[in-house]
Amino acid sequence: MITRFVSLVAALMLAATQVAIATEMKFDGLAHPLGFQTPNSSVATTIAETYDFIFWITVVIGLLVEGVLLYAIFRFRRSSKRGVEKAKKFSHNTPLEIVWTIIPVIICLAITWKAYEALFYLKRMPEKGMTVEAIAYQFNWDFRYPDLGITGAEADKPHAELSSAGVERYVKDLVVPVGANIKMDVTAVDVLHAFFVPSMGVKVDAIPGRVNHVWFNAERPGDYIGQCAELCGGAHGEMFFNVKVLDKADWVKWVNTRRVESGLQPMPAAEIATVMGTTL
Amino acid sequence: MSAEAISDNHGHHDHAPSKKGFMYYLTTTNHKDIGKMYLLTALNFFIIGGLFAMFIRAELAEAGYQLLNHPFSVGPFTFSFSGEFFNQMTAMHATFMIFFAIIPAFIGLGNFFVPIMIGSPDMAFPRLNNWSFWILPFSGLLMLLSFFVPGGAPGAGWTSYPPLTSAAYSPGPGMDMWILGIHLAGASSILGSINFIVTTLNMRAPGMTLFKMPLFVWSMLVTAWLQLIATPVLAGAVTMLLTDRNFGTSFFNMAGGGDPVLYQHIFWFYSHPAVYIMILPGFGIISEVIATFSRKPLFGYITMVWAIIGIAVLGCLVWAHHMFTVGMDPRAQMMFMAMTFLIGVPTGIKVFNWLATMWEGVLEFTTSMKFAIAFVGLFTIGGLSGIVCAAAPVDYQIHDTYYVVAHIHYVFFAGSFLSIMAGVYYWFPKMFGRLMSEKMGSVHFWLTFIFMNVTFFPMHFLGLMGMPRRIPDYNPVFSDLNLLCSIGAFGLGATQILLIINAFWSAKHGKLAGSNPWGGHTLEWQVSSPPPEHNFEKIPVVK
Ligand SMILES: [Cu+2]
Ligand SMILES: [Cu+2]
Repeated sequence: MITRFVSLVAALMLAATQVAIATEMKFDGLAHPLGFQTPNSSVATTIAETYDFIFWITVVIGLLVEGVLLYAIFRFRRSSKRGVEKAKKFSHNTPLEIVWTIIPVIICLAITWKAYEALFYLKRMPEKGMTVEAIAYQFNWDFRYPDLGITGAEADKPHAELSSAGVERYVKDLVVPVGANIKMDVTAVDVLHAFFVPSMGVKVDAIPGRVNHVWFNAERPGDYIGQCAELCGGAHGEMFFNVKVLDKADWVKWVNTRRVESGLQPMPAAEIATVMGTTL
Repeated sequence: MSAEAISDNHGHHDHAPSKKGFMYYLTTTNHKDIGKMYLLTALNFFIIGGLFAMFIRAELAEAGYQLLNHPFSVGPFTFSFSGEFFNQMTAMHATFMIFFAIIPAFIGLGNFFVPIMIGSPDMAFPRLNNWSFWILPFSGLLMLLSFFVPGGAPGAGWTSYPPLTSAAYSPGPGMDMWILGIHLAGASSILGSINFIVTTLNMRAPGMTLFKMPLFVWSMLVTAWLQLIATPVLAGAVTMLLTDRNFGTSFFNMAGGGDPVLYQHIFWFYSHPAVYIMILPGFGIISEVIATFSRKPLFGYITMVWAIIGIAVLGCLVWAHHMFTVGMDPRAQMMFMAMTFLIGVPTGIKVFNWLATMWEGVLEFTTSMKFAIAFVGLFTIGGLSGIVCAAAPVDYQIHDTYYVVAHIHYVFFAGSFLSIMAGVYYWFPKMFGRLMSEKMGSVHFWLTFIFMNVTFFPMHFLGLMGMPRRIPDYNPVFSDLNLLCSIGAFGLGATQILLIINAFWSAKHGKLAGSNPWGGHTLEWQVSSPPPEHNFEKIPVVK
């Protein structure tokens, strides 16, 4: 009796949880609540496609297994009509065993092929593009634009969203132009960190003594939060940064403002375009 | 498989003193006592590791800092939890659950049942067995003591990646105590695995050929080999860390020509197989439990054995799937990725075989069977999310996020923990002669089942949405799901009190079990409950 009651409550609670998750929660700025952030680069899109391919395969396998399991639980339970003597004694079925070995091997090959294509797309650095250096340290980031002679600016006011829970957070901007290949050179000066921007689909470890590379090409202007993703000490959770994607006119303006602030001559737009590897 | 256990009472009297005091347990060489002590130790450290998890979930319940950075006074002293303290909690939660709860729990069950299941009076090296047990609680205590030294416990994750763990960034002695604790736990584990291998290969009763051994014995044998091969490598990694910290070497120090990534390779060469050390014995237990309560022989026994061996061999070749973001050659990533996918094949075979064992059986839903069925259903989720994690391109997005936390908890909680529970409810009557309360067991099962899913399932979403792991505060968009996880975690933690009450109450007051309460066919069900001092009055002959 108790068991029946508890299992009923269990089923109801699980169902309620699912419904609550599906309907009640809203995630601002996430077009895909409960999934990846909306991809904002071909890199992130490639990852999302690879994920979808594998995800749906795992869903089919998962439903198959859970379905058979549930069927067996209800169909083969012991009852007044089904005593112990009803249990069959078989313990082999060679054709079946061959089938459920071969099919998973084929699925593995399919997933490997799909992932292989994505892997080499993501890992081949584009020839044209602008190099930006990200240097991680306990507990912040520095961004440098070696071909423009400038660095990122300090944050001048607390980040609105990230400070909403009562902790004032000054978050540096990584400013990039829309539509250009951004080639990141990522390193660290003290311990391991990781450069992670979910909406761009990039994550790579920042390792002292090594320079790691990732690239992305932002498709829409806006602000996209990035964060350190490798445990790096007491304030690891505070290592936010903000990828500020500007349209091309704003970007040229921003570059020249920074150049003037650093005591350099403004750069002609054409020259900035050459550095970016695109046309303006 | 059947056996003849001839029980003519021929005045072979018990050597055990009637009252068992501390000295008895300190010096006992009886595998059954040692097995129980392992289980009790595992339970204690499970509680400690669980409390650490409660701290983590309390801090993460809402956006903003809940426990951290809020000074509070106890008498004349003022304390404040720092970010470092939060890191100590995550590091020690994993360390205690892995090295001092899950692994010892399986070794405890193995210690008690492997000798009986193969028809042996004891382990091959009973004194070594005593020694490998007694190292363990003290290495756990050493780790705990690190909370009280200057600088506190190590707070660099259970993975302890340098340079964060180098002398410059973790200056206190806590890190060294962690390293020595790992050395001791590793020594215990290596000695224990030698004992298991020798016992299984040399102490089997006449007629008990290798391919007649119950699947649990097979799984412990393969696990022991994995421990023997992999644990010394972990010892090597932490020894290099120790000398880097204290004796001026530069294995992992780039300023001296070393490489921090080297540590990760060596560490994961142990720590990926460690996942199988923590799941293969569970596979063995589940095979025993499902066959018994389906009233059918295990489906595909031979393929089950080869699947375990296959998983173990492949498991030693995939370590760098934890390191896809370190900037490895894509061709190497490709190989590690493909090998990891392949592990899905033998794992799938095991799941299908369990389903086929239940098929057309007569299922009896004892608490043990409930845990076993939940294992099959939920471990499958952990296995499938493992395929997702193993795809290198997808891993660039979910590595070091809560997706990985969700995945590993569906492996260690839905996998290891549920299988340990299936084993405990199944074998408790054999160990103590009394049945555990099925009613309380059933409530324990259902609450555990609900709360573990409430705790760990939303973590998949958090990870996909981009919440990194090991952070005490987060982007406020993640707060709803985090609150759900925390509610689940507190429920899950509180539920385990039922297990403790049930075990301690039933050991004294439970219904008498008799020698074979479940109708099992393996050798342990042919001796009395609890089994006599040397298990068998005469060595059984297996036909
Ligand atoms: Cu960091
Ligand atoms: Cu692994």
